[in-house]
Amino acid sequence: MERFVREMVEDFGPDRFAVFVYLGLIGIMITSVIGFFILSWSWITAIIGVFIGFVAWRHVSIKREHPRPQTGRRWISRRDPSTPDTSGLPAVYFLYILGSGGHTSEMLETIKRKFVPQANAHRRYLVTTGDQDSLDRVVKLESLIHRCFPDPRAGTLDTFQVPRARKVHQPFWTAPLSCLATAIHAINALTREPNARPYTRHGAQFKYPHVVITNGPATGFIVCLVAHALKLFYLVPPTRLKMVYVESWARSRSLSLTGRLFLWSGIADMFCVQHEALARGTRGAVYVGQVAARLAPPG
Amino acid sequence: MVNGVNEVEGGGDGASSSGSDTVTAARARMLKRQRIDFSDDGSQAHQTTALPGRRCFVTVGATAGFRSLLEEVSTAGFLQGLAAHGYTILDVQCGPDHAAFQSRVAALSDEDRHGVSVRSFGYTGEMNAYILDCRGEENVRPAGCVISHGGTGTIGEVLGVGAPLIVVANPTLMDNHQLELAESLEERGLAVHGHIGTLVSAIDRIAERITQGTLDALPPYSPPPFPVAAADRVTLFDWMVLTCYPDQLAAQTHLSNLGMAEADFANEQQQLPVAGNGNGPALAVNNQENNGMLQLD
Repeated sequence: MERFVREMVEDFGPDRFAVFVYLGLIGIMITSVIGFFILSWSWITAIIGVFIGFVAWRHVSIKREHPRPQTGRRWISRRDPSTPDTSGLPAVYFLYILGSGGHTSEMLETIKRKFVPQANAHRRYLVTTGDQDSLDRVVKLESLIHRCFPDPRAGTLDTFQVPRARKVHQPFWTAPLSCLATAIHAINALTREPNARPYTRHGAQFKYPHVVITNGPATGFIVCLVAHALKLFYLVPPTRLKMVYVESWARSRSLSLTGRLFLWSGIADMFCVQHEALARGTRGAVYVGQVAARLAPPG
Repeated sequence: MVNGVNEVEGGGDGASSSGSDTVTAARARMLKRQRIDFSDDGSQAHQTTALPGRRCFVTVGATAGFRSLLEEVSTAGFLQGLAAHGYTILDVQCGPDHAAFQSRVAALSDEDRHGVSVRSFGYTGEMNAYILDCRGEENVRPAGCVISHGGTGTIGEVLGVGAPLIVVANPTLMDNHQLELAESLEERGLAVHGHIGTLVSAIDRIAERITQGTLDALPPYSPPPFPVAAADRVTLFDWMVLTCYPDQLAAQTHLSNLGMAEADFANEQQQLPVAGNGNGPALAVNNQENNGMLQLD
C-alpha cells in the first residue's frame, strides 16, 4: 500500500491536476455516504436519477461529435500521399498504450507504419508496471527513430507506468480491484504534462494527448474509460483525448472481449479492424488494412 | 547479415596476403572490406562448400507458458521426424518452463536424439537472430522452420523475415483466441497450422513447401525500410489529430479532395493515350504543375 501511494505521488505533475481529481472523488464519496444516512429515499433516488441522466446526456453528446465510420474510410482510401500534413500544428501528441507481448509488437509495428518526422510531435508510451520487455522494445524503436532523424525532427518522448488491469491467467473476480489501481494511475498518465514540453514554452498545447491509441489489452480499455469520464465531467476539453481502437491482427472473424467492450460502450472515436471480412460484419467498424503486421514478399 | 560478413572476413584472411608490407594495417583492413563488398554476390559460394544443416526454432512467446508444445518437441519421435528432413539443430525458447524442458531433454538418450542437437533458453529480446537462422538463403544456409505459438508478435516477426512457419495455437489461453489466426494463416497459405500430437506431419508439410518453392535459395535478408514510403504510410492517426483543430481539418480535407480529384484526372489522362496520341506525357506534366499551384494556395 505504501509503495502504491509513493508511486502515485511520484507520478504527479507540477500542476497537481490529478490530486484535485482524487480529492474531488474522495469528497464526493464522503458526501454520498453522509447523504445516504441523512436524506430520505425519494431524495436519494432523485439525485441518482439526475446524475445518471447527466452522464447519459453527456455520453450521447460526446458520441455525436465522433467522426463517422464513413469519414474514417475516406481518410484511409486517400490517393494523395501529401495529405494530411500535421507539421504546421502547434502540437501533435500521441499516447500509445502498450499491453504485453503480442500487443506491444503490434503497436510498435503500427507506430513504424504511421511515423512521420516532425519537430512538434510528442509520444507518450504507457507501459504496464514490470513489463521490462516492452520498455526494451520501445527503446529499440526510439533509437531507430533518433538514428534516422536528427534531434529536432524526431520529436520528444516519455514513458509512463500503470499497474496491469488483468494478468494473463488472473481470475475474473479479482479483476475489479486491479482495474481500479490502473484507473487511478491512468488519471496521472492522461493529464500530466510532458517534462520535455513545459507550460512555460508551449502553453497548454501539450497538456493532454490529442490521440490515444490502443489495440486490445484490458489496460487500454480502462485508460480509455478514464479518458472518457474526464471528458464527461468537463475536466478535459472535448478537442483532446481522441481515442482510436485498433482490433488485433489476430482477430479475423470475431471481435475480442476488449473490442466488444469498446464497440458496445461506443467510447472510441474510431473503431478499426484489420480484416475486411470482420469489418463487413461489424457495424461502426473501419477497415484499416494490415497495419500491425508486415508480410515479407513471398520467396 | 552481420554473420555473413564475419564469415567472409574469416575466410578472406588467407587471400589478403597479396597486400604489400608497406601498406598500413588500417589501409589493409579497408581494402579487405572493399573486397568483401565486391565479392558479396558470387565468390562467397566457392569458399563455403558444405552448407550447415537445417535449423528448427521453437518459441512459446514472452507472455505465457506452453507446456504441451514443449513436451511434444522433446519426444524421440519428433526428433526423428526432424532428422529425417535434414535438421541438425533444434533451438527452443521455453519461457517459464525452461527447467522442466531441460530435464526432459537430459533424460533423452543419444539414440533418441537422432543426431539433432537440442539447445534451450528461457527468454531473449533478440528473437530475430534465431528466426533469421531458419530463413533459407542462397549458398549460406538451407531453410529450416519456426514452430511458434499463435501469438501475433512472433508470427508477425517470422512472416516479416520470410522463414517457413508452423503455428500451434495455445488452447489454454482466454477463449482459445490463437486458433482463429492459425486457421486464417493456413487458409491464406502463409503458414502451416500444426496440432499437438501430430507435429511431425506439419514438419513433413513444411518440407514439401520448401522443396516446391524457392525457400532454400532466397536473396540475402534486408530489414524493412524505415520510414515507410509515403504512399504506404498509415495516415488515419494524423487525421485524428486534425479533428482536434477543426479549421485545420477543414483546410486539409479541402487539399485532400483536390489531390484526389487531381489523381483521378491523371489516371484518366494516362488511360487515354493508350489509343496512340503523343499528347500523353505533356498532359501529365501540366497536371503536375497544376498540382503544385493548388498546393501553394
